[in-house]
Amino acid sequence: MKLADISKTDLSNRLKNEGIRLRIGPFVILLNTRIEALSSALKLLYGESELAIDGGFSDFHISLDAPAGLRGYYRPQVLFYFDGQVPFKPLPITHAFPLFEWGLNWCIAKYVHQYLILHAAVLEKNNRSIIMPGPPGSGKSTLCAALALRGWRLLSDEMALVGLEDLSLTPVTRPVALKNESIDIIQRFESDAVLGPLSYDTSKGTVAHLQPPVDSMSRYLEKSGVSYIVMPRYSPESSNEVREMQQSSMLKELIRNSFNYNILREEGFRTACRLVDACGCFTLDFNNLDDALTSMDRVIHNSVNE
Amino acid sequence: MPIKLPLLLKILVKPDYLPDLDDSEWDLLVRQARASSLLGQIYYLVMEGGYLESVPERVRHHLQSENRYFEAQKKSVLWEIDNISGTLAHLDTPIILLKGAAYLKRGYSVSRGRIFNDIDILVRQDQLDRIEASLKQKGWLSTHLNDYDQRYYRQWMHEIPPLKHHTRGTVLDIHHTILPLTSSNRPDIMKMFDASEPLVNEVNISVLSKTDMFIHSATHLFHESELSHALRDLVDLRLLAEEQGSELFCNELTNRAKELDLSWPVSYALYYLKTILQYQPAECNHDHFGGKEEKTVPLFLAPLFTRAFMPNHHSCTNFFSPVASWLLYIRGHWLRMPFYLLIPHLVRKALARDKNKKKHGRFFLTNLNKGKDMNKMLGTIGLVVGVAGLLLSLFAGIGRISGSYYLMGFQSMTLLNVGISMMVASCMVKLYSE
Repeated sequence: MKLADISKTDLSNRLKNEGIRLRIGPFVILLNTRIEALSSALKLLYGESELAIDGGFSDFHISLDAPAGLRGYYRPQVLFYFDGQVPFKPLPITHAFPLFEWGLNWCIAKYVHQYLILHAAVLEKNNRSIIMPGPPGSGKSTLCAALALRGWRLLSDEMALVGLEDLSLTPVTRPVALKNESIDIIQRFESDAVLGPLSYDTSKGTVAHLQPPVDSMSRYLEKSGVSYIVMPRYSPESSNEVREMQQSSMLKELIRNSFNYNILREEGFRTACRLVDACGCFTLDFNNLDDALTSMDRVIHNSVNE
Repeated sequence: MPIKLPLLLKILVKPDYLPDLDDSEWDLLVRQARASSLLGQIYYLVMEGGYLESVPERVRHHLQSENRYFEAQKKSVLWEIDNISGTLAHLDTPIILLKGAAYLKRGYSVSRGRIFNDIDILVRQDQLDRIEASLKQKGWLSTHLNDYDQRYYRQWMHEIPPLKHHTRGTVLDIHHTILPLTSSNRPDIMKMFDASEPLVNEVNISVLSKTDMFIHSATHLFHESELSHALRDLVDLRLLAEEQGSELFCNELTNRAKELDLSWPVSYALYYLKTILQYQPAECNHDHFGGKEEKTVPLFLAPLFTRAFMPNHHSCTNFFSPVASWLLYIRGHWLRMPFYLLIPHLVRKALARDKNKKKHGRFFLTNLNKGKDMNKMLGTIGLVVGVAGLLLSLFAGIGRISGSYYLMGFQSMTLLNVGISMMVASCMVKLYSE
């Protein structure tokens, strides 16, 4: 059963009581909340996620709620609970959905070390997968959203889960986080794009999440091999250009963008080396989405130099 | 109070149950163990029993991830110890590793899967200045820079303010004795130095003797004011006792504890090892603390500690838990810091000032006597607001120190600020009323 199959009232009742066990990529998340707005945002953005049957093992026990007592009435806030512990400061209650997303990132980065985890988007087309590492501001999420809206399969917007043995990419398909101008850009790019509620004045500015494509969500268990690593670099002044990147420079970028390199140590280093060896490494400079999409197609068709 | 034994305790007592757990029991066990810093221990119990095959795949990932985390920490701590040893080698003074670092360096079973934050070392007090200076030259910086904190540590505590490496962020606690200088227990630390054992292939690194390790760990556990790791510490004690493996251990332990004047923490430890973990070191029965041991933990303390030894997870807490941890918090401070000096001192100071005010006719009662209704009312309001502010600040301050970031839904610091503002406002009102 999918999350979208539960009626609105039924969903908020379950979230208030026993919780729902949501399948997100390889994880099962037991989620509780009394916040109605979060319940409807989940229904919109995670509607295509499968629900696990009740009972059994959940990887993460998460709940988001307003603090108890008087503080719940004056400028209400939301707290992220990881199995009863509060790892972060509270946020205004209107930021509940982004807080869920950031909190889930934190859980994965802190407790999941069977993969090398990179801060990167992962997309696939014609059985060829691309890892896109990129610091904030590189246009990674915007490009990722555009590719997902043009038929690429979205494996992840935020975290690449790289298998330590086989270098396989495990999908953890979740809504794509768009910030500030990117929100308008994506709405102009595809008028059918479904965006969740806008959260203003977060630490990252205005944030909205793009509903992931149905096909990508339904293939949440299907791992993929990796073929390319592309570093996107958006700049309004730059021209559109794909360039091959030195493997050693890419290795440094991967390590810099890794969440758990310090924990995997040698194993992480070897995995990153093998990954760079196995992939074509490119940088992609772009100033508009349409040209960037064409460039990405050229990458997977091995026609960068033509 | 009857307490249903939490799953984590059942497993710690009898790991044979591990292969029979179903998915939802694993769910509970992983959460209780993680909250009590014992997930690494569970991983080793699974490996030791050869149960890995029977562990559901999802759970296996969590256990193995925890172990990867542990292995990474182990490597970096061992590296850091080498580094510290090298930095201090020219001083030709022994550096005694304590707790986690010592267990790792010794390769004791207690170190397996044990996650800790700081490296603790024990050094001779007369060498402190040289050691601190050498470390500072190599990038270890003091974490507490204000004068009050510096004085607090140096005059009253058993350690100097922790040092932090400015690039790697490792925290190093340098102790010169094992209990605060102000605490009522003042064991002779030189006896521990004398019994310490240098490590092979090391220039200046030593560890405490096995017996002293047990005594040190027990002493800390039962002097602690924050007992969020109490169960983990008790498991440490069991593994340390098992490490001894000698039938003479109990004799040695008893004699040594007497010698160091630390008999009571050791007898508490043996009592709770028996009642919570159902573990009794070999030969540790009626001849030693046994028999009388129920009497060694005072009646009012026993249930508090029993509560504190429950897994630090919401499935194992009840209405009594916060009360118990608050009382133990007070007790811990009572043992460490002379509250009985601090409070009378503050009260005396406050009274002396009031006397002074009376002499100058500024004390609010003199205003009451003048019969000025307005002033009387303002004075009373000021007093009420001031006292309320003081109580609120105390409440928030104590709450914050005991680890509650949120009280009644507000951040503790917000409440503290409100309390202080109320006190300031009351002073203004009272000034005006006079």
